[in-house]
Amino acid sequence: MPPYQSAHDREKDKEPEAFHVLRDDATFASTRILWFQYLALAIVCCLSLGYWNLQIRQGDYYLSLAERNRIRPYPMLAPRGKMLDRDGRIVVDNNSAFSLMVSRDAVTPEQIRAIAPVLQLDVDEVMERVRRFDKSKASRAAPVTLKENLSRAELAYIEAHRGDPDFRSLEIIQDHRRIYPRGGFSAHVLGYTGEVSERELDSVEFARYRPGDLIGKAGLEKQYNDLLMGIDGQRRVIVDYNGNERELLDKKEPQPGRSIQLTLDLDLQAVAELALRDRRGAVVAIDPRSGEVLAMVSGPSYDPNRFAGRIRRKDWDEIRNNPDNPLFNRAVQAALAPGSTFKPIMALAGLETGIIGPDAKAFCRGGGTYYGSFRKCHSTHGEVDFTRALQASCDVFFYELGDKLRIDRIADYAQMAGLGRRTGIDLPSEVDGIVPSTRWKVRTFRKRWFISETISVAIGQGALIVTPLQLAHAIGGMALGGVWHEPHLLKQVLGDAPPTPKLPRKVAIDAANLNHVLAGMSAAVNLPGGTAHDSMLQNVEMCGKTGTAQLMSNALAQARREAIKRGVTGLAPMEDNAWFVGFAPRRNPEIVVAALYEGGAHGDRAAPIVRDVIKAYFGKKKPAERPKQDPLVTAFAWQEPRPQP
Amino acid sequence: MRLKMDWILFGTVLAMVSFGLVMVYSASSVALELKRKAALERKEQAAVAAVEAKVDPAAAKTEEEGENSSSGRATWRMPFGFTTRRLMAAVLGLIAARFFWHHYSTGVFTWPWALLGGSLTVVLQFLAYWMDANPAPHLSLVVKQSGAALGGFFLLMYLSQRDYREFRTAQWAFSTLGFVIFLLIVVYFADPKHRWLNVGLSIQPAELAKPALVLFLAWFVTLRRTAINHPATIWPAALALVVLAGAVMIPDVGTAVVLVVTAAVIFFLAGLNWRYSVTAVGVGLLFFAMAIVYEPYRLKRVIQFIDPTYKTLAKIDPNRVLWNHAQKSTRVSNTRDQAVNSTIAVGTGGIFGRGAGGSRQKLLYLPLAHNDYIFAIVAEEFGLLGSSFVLVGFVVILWRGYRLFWAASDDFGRYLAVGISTMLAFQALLNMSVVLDLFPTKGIPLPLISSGGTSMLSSMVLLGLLLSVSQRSTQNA
Repeated sequence: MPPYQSAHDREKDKEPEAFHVLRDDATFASTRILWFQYLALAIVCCLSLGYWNLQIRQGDYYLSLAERNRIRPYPMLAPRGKMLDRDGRIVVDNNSAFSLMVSRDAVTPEQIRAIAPVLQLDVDEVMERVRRFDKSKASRAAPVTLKENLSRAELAYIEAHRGDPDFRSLEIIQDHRRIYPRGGFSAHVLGYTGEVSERELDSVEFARYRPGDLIGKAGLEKQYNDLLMGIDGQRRVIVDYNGNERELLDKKEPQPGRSIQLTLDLDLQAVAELALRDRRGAVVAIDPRSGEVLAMVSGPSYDPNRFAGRIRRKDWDEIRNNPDNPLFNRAVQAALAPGSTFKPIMALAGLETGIIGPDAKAFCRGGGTYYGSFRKCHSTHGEVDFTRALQASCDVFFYELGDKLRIDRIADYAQMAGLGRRTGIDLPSEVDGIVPSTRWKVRTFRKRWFISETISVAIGQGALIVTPLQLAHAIGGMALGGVWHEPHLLKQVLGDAPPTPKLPRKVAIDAANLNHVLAGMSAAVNLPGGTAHDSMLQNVEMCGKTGTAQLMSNALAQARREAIKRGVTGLAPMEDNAWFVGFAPRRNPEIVVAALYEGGAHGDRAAPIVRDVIKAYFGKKKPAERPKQDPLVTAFAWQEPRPQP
Repeated sequence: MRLKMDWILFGTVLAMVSFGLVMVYSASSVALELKRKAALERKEQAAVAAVEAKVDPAAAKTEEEGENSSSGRATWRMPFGFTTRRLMAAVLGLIAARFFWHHYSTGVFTWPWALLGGSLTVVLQFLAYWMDANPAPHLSLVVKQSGAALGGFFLLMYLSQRDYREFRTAQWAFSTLGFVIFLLIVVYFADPKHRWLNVGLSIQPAELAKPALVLFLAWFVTLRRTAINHPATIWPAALALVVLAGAVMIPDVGTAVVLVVTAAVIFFLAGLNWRYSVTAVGVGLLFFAMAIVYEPYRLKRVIQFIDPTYKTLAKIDPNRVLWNHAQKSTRVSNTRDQAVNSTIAVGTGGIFGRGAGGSRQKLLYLPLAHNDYIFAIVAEEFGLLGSSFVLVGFVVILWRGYRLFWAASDDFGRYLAVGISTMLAFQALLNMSVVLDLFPTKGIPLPLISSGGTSMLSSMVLLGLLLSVSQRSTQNA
């Protein structure tokens, strides 16, 4: 194919001279075009210099500007779940509050110095917090909380200073502040929340939290943190190099935490709290038929509202340095000698093993000598039978019984009742307690058991230590006929089906033996001469057992008392701990309450606490729902007629 | 006669257009993000609706499984990321290149090819409109741009084979000029912003004014070269220029500046007297200043460029008349934002850039990232290397055009070539200066690279004419 040629091309090929006529002369303008060439060259050089300047010389500066030009996430905090009592009353709630956040990538130390005094914050504390976030792996764009629960004045001030360059990096977001009952009411059960600490963040189980997250630190808040804690939402905003919001990119709504219903009864809780007042001690009320904890109080208490959010160092020190240790939940953490409240278990062990019969008798002459040392009884009871031994809490009877039973059988029955190990309640930091045995002694101390030690254990002293919760659990399950339900505080998660109850631990106990023990416990309350007869209830047959646990030998305690009387300072009065464990009614008990009153001197000082709680429990019921009155104990010859009201 | 080819120019143009397509795709991915998200939300809503309507989920599941099983099969992978599809595309591309070269060398790119290019442009434009509303909205811009580039390529091939001397007639010069002025008048009344003419596809008549003016001036100057300083030459030329530039200036001062500068260069090279040149420049500056003061947003941009705080200018203008006038602007509130963001984009690039598609500034910080500020994205993603590539491309265009001042076979070709290369290079330099914040914000696209169909077509027409001049030049200078 011949190449295409235009008319002009053909003309040119045929007649080159004729075409040449068209060609003009260009030489005259050649100097002028040189101007343009040099001009173009100069412009290109200028531009190249511009690039060099921008991209190489000032590259870092513009990189830092570009860093500020970014998508910035602002959290939308999810409210924590509420806590309700068993009747659906709100115990722990949230309050809407405003928090002030600052973007770390935009804030400078100078700005912090300008902002902090306005908000009455400590400059160093703020700097430390910002620096702490710097150390963590969180993105630099993630904002840091500067102050929570802003007052109206502070809100107004910040809003009014929006345009101020110092305040440009601040952002106000809606927060949720936890409200606990005032005055430390049931503080130990509910627990409190706090900012996840640096040490916690390093550990595995806290790996999913980010610095600044509020997590449960104690009590139920800690135990059910995963349920209660919602999932924070996020608002991603495009921010320009100036810190102004350009556009809302997307929004993830927060998922609020689940609310939980507790087995606690606020009324009983209040009664227990009032009965304990602010004394050192604990009260635990359990429904033995299901293991539901109706009340749990530990004293002295603290106000968790001071922990809600971020606690100030001063408050924290004040609580930590209190000698009574208010943070200590005595109901599950105070493992102490149970004293005579251990005797029902001893008595049952005696009957069940057949070591003694219900007709067993002992003679109390104010004490007895066992293995070379004299053991005192708190009174001189004369001849005591089985019931009277429990009624009057005669130590000699149990010294004799313990001597016959030997430690390992005692330990077996104590463990059967659930002592010596955690009850499995849904609270963190429950302690085990100790049930001593020969094996325990060998394992712990690498020493053999001395038989004289058994005598102490027989009256709930020595190495035996239990928590109030364990005691209530043990006695309640025993009173129910050997059915131990695991105590728990969670009734249900709202919105979920109620959880299937766990199967109880059952032990076959001879009903006749049990009845003897329960009769003795009933006599201790309901019969004159019983250790807790003052706390008898009119219409309910409350059974119980007092306990007075020594902390030191009688002689030493006496010396100390005298020294304090003389005016020696710096000595805490080491009074005996008062215990009481009671349940009602005698048959099929509905409630079992254990009370510990540290330094209460005698068990009958703890009994009124239990009485009040049990009275409140039955008083709360409608008359028709109250249990039919059982005939009181009548099978004893020496019974005096009950005083009629 | 076998046609010779300016391979340097041709290759540069092809490389720049391809690079431009990549950049348009990359820079328009903001739209990609947002629109795809919106589409996904729609899809999710549809899925929820389907579930609510109790559509059997089992059927959907089996479909998904069928897809998964085919993709899950282990396959042999070709090295260097080659796939069968890419290899086939490469082979087809080579065949197409051979075909094109055969046609080119035998001079077959006549008007049917231009027609083909035009129809392809139109078809792809409508395809882009369709895609915009349908599942691939993020591709619509790049499809539109490829349509323009493909059509422009055929126009370029056609014009480069067509002898430019056939346009050396009064008919061509006046008809193109008149047509463009007609379009400008139409668009003045048709569009409230006086910019876009929507006839199915949107055309920007101001862009078409560029080839029309170059063609007219080259013809006119060639005609009147011997009497270039004669009033009978100057007045008609000035009239044509003022009418055209004035009509263009109403919507688009930037393009008007480019036109005036090009005209000045052509006349100056044709031997215009210094006195006239200075007068013309003075008058041009006066018009320019009037145009700036007339529109508050232009005034605001200039003030923000010169003296953002208005402290120095307040000495000249104590009553702040200019300032108050500028405040009437209803356009983008702060054009300094654009300038700062574009310098941020350029400055972040460094030597090698953030890598293709790695720009962050295009994510809603830099408005018109695919258009007027595409060069900032080039600089951010490809760094000093990428921006030098573009700069060198325009320098090559300038070089190949100015070379023809000596080499062209006639005066018409000479002025045409100089006018074309001045126009393209000047516009590019202006755009780059704006991006570098060396010049007040101006809305002019970067030729060959920015998205914009009319701009691409007019640039390709200009370059086609330039190639045509170059392959009919007498010597290889």
